[in-house]
Amino acid sequence: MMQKIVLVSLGLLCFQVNAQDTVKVKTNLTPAQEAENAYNQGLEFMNQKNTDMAIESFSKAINLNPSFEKAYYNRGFAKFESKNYQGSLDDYTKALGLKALYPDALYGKAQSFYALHQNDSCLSYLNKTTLVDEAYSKAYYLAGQLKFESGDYKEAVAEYDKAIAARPDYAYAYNDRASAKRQLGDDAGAIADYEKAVASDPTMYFAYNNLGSCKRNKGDHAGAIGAYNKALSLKPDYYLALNNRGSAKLNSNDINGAIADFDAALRQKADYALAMNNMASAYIKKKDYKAAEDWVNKAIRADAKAGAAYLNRGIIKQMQQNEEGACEDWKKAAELGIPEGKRYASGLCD
Amino acid sequence: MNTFKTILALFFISTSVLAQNVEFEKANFPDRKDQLKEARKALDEGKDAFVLGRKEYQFILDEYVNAHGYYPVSRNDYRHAGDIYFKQAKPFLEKAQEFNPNNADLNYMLGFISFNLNAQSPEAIKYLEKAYSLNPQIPEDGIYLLGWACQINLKWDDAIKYYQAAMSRYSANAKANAVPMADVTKKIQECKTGKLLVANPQRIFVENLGPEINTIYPEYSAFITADESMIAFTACRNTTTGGKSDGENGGYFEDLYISGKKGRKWAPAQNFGPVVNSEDHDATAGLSSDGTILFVYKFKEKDGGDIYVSYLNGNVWTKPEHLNKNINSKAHESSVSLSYDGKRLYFVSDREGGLGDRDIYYSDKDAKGEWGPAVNAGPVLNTKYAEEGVFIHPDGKTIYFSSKGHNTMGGYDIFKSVFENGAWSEPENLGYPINGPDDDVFFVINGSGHHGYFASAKQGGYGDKDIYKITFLGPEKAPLLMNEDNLLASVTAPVSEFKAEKIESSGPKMTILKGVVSDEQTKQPLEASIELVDNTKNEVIAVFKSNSTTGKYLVSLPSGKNYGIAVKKEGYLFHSENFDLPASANFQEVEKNIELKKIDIGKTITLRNIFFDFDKATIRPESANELDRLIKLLSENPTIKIELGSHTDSKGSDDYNQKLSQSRSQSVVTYLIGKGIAGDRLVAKGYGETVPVASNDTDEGRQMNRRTDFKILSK
Repeated sequence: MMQKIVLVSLGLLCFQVNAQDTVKVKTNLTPAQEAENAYNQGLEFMNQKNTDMAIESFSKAINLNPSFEKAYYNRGFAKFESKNYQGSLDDYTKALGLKALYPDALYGKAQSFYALHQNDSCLSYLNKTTLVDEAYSKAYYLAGQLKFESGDYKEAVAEYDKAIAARPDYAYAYNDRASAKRQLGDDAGAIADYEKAVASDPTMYFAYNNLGSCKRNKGDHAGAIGAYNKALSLKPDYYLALNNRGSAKLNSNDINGAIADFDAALRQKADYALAMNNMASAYIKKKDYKAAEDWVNKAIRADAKAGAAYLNRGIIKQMQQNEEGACEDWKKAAELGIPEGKRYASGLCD
Repeated sequence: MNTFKTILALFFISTSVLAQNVEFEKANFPDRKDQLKEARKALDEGKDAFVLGRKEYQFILDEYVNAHGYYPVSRNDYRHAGDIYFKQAKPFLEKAQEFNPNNADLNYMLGFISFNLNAQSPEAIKYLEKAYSLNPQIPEDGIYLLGWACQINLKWDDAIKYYQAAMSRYSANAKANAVPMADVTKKIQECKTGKLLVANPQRIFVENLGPEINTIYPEYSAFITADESMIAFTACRNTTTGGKSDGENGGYFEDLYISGKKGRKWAPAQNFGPVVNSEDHDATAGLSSDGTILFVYKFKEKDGGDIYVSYLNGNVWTKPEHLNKNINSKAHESSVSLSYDGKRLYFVSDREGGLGDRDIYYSDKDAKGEWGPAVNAGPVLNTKYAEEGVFIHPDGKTIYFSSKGHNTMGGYDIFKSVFENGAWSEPENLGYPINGPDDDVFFVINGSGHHGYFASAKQGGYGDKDIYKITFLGPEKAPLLMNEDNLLASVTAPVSEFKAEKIESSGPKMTILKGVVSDEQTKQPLEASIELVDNTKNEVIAVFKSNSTTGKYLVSLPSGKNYGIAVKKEGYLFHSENFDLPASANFQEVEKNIELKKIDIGKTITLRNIFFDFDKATIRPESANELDRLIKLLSENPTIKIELGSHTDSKGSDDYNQKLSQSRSQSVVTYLIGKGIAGDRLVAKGYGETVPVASNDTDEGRQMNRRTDFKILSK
């Protein structure tokens, strides 16, 4: 099995809001007390997801009390949420200047470095975080993610192990450890971890999808379809799972069922090149090469770099007795990193 | 053989005891007396002709069994015996059948005739099954032929059932019927093989080569060059040399025809002309993979059919010469195939001393260029049955041939065997639909192994036998699915997954090198010799020539050797190429046009076959052939002075590369001086990495840049 990792964007980092405890406000207001009020107001804004107002309130608190490390920390957090990563980094640094052994601020710095693609610094601060608080599970989790993204799956598993040791019901860590194991070819281990992930959080639809894909790759098409069904019962518009369930059906020779799923995926995402390519694959299996050609051309129009679609179009052309066209497509597939393209072209196309 | 007497006796057995069998008697047709009379008359006339045909059939069968010790394996072994009488008998018997369709003997005769005239016709099965159902005691050969008709129509289970029924009848007199029983056993096995092969068909396309090649006349026995640029075949057309017909089959005498590719299409085929074709039968027997050596089959009673060879000289084929007595015996010699290096000739002969019927033999060329004693290719390839249509692939190790033995599914089937570790592998049936239950013979395959050529009289052609191209699609290619998952819980971007079922790379491991040799200045094609050297062994493997008219050449290079190639012509500097092909190197076709340079001041050539130890100036032993050529050139041109220039790629420092190249060029100069070339004729010059001829960014480019050139400084 070959798997290609393409992490396109950081997207929504689902770090839980780590706002500090509310400070109790007294009636006779000193500047420090006013600062506390402003700080609490900032937290309120954060809860309302109004980061701009939150930043303003935390700034006011800092002006009133320049040694208010929690205000720095939370302003850093608000800046992070508003994607001002350099700003968040600066505020976490200031918080740490006031309180060196501050695990949340250390972790916040690590997150900021991660967002700024400074992975070495990120890892360094994750280490510092766990030195200060060895049960800081999120730090291990983020370290695991970094390792995963750099392709070091073995190390990733080790970090996820620590995250789970620190927090045994850590569903995300189970999911990600499963994915790392999958990359290492440990399908059985992956399946066990995906199952733990959904046991810890039965609403994790994507973990069900991942479980399905793992089973599909193992050839357990019925098991895969069951898992995809579960994912889709939680999120009916989940086009990835529709596309994947279609693939499982195709692999188990339920061609019409597969076509229905690819069609459903395309109804959710009309320009979904993967489902178009897979639709073409279904028609290849049906030996309806005209329909297959139509779909594979759509896939290529939707994604000109879809190597698999070129490979499939080569297969279609060969079956249409167009050897030259097949060669052209297989060579293109090879250029786009599909090894089968080179193999199919070898000999016939030289 | 007493078979015929037995059959005749059984033929007239009264079958009236069986209720369903209806004899041609008044009692059975009380109200149709006149029609009965007519029907009886037709029946008698038909039966008379049938009996004559049956006698002729039996004569050929007995003759065959006496010669071989076993029953004919192919339909064609009966040589259409009795057909003339069967054709006469058929309309009379059909008339009688129209009157009374329920007579066992009549159905038996019609079934027998139908099978012999057209074994694929469903009529044979229809009549024989009816006869057998009306009277299970019909002659056993009727049951046997019913089995064979089912086999030929791919009805394997029915075939086995009827063969078993025939066996049961034969076994009543097992001693006398040992020969037919052995044949039934073989045919049951053929059906079992056929059933398996048909259930797992090969993925191929079959396409008629079109009207440029095929006509209403028979075309067959096609041979192609490794690159499919030329085809030679046999045809029996009205344009045959001398215009004569063969009295035996009524068709025109065979001639050889040729065609070349124009783009993707074949040009209209041309008769090879009167130099190659005579007024008698002349047929293609083989073609070298470069298309310059043609083998011709000619039949003369006294020699039993022999092989002749013709060479392409410019654009003219030479008069076919009779191959020597090591190849041609008094027995029948038919197809031949020349190895890629031209040093071994495989051929088929039914000479005495073989393993049975026709066998595959080979002969090696001796030092004088003569074909040596014939050697039987041995029991792995040859069986007690006939082998035919031998073809050695230009990869040098894969042989294709037809056989009536091995695990054929009936008649000749085409098999493949690979010579590895000093032995031929167990022949492998090429499978259905390349092979069928009838004769499949004379199959050739191109260099890449993707296209095969064969002849067939299948329906939908231009008439009689046509030549077809097979495209091998290989194992089914699973479409590649695209999937993605949310592998990381905290990352929304899905992760793509590509998965395809792995297919092992198959096909020939070889390179075809082809192109045109010409004069660098005039661009005129040149006839040059092309020397193929095994650099590791320092052995000249073969010497070829480019065509004097077109300059074309084609050389087959099986993978697994480091090849040095020297293109030479008097008055010109030689051109060298190197192909280091590991055993795993897949098929490739390389087109390289070579312009030879006249020996003139300032002319430079690259010596591609001078090798040094890694990072050293020590000349490796596999350079010997190239250096010898250089010495020969300097000896033949004693006044020229040359510069030996050594070049490196850009890896390493400039200074290091400069020093290394200087040392290497000096090593070559020292070697030449050691071989007697005067030192004052030689200049050693290291260029380091300063004169690249290709990009240093790729392995291929760097390889091109690492080289030794020589330049003529003065004459």
